[in-house]
Amino acid sequence: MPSNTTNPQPRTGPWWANRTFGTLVLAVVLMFVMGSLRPDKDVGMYPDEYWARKITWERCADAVLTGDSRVLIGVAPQGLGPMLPYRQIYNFAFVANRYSAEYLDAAEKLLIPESRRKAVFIGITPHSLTGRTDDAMGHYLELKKMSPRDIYVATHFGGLMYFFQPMSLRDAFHGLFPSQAPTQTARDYRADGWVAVHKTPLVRHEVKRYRKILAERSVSQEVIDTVTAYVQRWTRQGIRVYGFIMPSCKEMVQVELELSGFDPEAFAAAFTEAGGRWIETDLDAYESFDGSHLQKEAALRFSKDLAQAVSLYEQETPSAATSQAKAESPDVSD
Amino acid sequence: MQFNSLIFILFAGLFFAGWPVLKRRHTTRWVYLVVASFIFYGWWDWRFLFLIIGSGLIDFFAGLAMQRYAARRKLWLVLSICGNVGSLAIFKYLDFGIGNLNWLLGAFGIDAQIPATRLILPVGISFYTFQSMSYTIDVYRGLLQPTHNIFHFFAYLSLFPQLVAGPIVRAKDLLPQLETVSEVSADERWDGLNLIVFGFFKKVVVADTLAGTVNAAFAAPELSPSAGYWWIVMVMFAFQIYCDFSGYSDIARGLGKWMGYEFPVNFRNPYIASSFQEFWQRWHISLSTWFRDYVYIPLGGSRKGLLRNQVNLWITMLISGLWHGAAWHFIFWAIAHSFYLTVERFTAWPQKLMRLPGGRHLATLAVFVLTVLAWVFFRAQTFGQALDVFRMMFDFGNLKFDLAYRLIDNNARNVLLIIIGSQLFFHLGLDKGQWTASRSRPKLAFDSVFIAVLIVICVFNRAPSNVFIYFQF
Repeated sequence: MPSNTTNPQPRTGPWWANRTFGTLVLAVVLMFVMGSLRPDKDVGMYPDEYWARKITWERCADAVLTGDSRVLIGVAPQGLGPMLPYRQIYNFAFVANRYSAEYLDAAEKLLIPESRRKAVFIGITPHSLTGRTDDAMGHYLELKKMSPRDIYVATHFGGLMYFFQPMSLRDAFHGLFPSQAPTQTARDYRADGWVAVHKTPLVRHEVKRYRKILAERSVSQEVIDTVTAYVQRWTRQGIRVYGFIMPSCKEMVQVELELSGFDPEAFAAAFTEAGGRWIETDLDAYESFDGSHLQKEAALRFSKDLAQAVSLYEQETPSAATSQAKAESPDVSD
Repeated sequence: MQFNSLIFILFAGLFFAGWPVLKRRHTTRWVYLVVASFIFYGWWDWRFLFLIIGSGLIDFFAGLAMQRYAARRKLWLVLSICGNVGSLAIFKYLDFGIGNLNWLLGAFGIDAQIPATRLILPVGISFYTFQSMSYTIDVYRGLLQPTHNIFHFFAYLSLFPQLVAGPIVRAKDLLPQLETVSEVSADERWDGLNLIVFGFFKKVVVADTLAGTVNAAFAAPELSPSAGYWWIVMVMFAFQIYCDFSGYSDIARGLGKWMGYEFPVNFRNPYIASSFQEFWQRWHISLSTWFRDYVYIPLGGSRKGLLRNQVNLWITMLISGLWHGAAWHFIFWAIAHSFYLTVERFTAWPQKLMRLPGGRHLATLAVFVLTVLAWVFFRAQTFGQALDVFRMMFDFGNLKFDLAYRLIDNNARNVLLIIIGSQLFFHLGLDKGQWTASRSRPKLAFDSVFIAVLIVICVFNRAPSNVFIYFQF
């Protein structure tokens, strides 16, 4: 029954001609212009979609790369793949990540149980071995708190969320006039977990930041023990575990050695004793764009060098498991 | 569902797409309002819908019973208040009571640690409980005829724009509005848009940007030793909480206007008040008037002499402090304001100050500074932390503005300057200028572009999202 209390007021014109509608249309046009001006457009997956998918990975990999942002940006599964006998290699590293039992359990869950060749690559930085503090949980633990609803939205509406990401007027200006921007950055969020970054000009800002961080926080023996315990557990299960220190730059290596309390030789010895295979890496032979993370091309080169070192290592110390796996699927190692 | 979330934008879009059609029929309007409001509230945790429904049913039936059994209406009122206060007591105050009891028992040497219940506080419980109580009290006082339609009642109680953080609307003001359907005029639509856009700006640009600095200051393991820094942080918090809360109220009022309803104004630039009495007439007005009408006046108000008036004032303020949170630091915040009001009542210092040249500006500044000091109790996580912050603020030998400059980021500094500028704009009465009221074509065009730009700023210059502060109350 229609309401008998309706109290219509005279309209001031057609609905589409009123100020409110006009203002909203103008706002949408301005938003579209502003969003289109975003500088340094990412390629590959949208960031929110990338992280939402990554945090839900399970049973998808023969080999898993673990670590913090240096591994995330610095090790490319596509660079490792051709030389190593693993079909599926995933980069499961996160920004500001620290090795914890929770994280290592999650990394293990990525391995396909039926896979005959399973491997975990542990990329070490002193920061990833520091103890957890409440004010710096790390990106992995933050992402773990995402609700299924948030994951759904990020997975399916990642493009929309990216378009509406906050940006300043200065960003928009640099989007309009890229040559005026102080830095040029291209990020590529790949489905295998690698984030390829190409940034110019090359700077060393991270060295200063790490000097401050490591002055307040040092490497934790408890975290080292956690890592070696997992190495021991995995190797007993027949999983190959490779450890290596991520390269950065000369200044960063010096700062980390001075301030973090990290002893690379002692760590390598403990790692090897636990059953892992330690790979020596050249810590300042690759181009870093900020003093900490490798430039895209350097990451590919480092990944190939890492694969070669692992491959050589395997040839020197072949194991029954690898030999058996090679015999079963010769095609993938070509 | 938070106003500042993608899901709410979608929800509001769907709601307002259906509203112009569905509001025209009585039954569909009520059902549409209740279902939409329950979806809005149940989005956090659907289980809490049972609480709001249970608490609402008590008041709905108590209202009917008061009408039918008029001789025993006091009994029904008491039952209704017990139900409402009881749910608040269980969800909000039980653990606070247990904690204090454990401390008290310990003080007497009795080691009987009663375990805390750790119940989750339902969002907005204090708001809808007070709104529900006002219904039965008004029915009891004969100011309102109880509704016989349960959908009418729940549409009033759970109306989504103001359900979780106010303004607290009285049944006698809102129910008659819900009964009618009025076409929303172009001016109302424009006013609604203005309120919504300014509300979002206050929340996502101002409050959330300031929150980053304030939260970092209070979460640091060791408080930064700089008086300058802490004064700036506390001024930032004063504007953060104001913009957070008044932003929510503005959005609620704007949505109400788009629906054809008028919610009361909740904030009138409180920081330009030149006395504490004026401050409380400008800050969270719907709560202040609720306490005035349902606590302060029933206690006797100012009718029973100066001393009794002060006792009533202190009781009302202390209950208001507890309403904000079950912790001692909220009670101390209320004590600080009670003290300010009492001193003001006995000395009339603002009036005396205002007689001097520039006295009004000085009085406003003094009220603001004292309000900022009281906010320390409100924001601190513990009473001990509040005392530490006071120690830092009054360590004038350690002003260290250079440290403050390094610790506070550029965005927060810029936002603080903008908000202080806007307060001066209102304080100096520039909002009452001819240009502001003009309806000339250039002015209308300027307004449209200004609001459109503000929308773009809200979208692209928003700070990382924070939950509205008043949701926890």
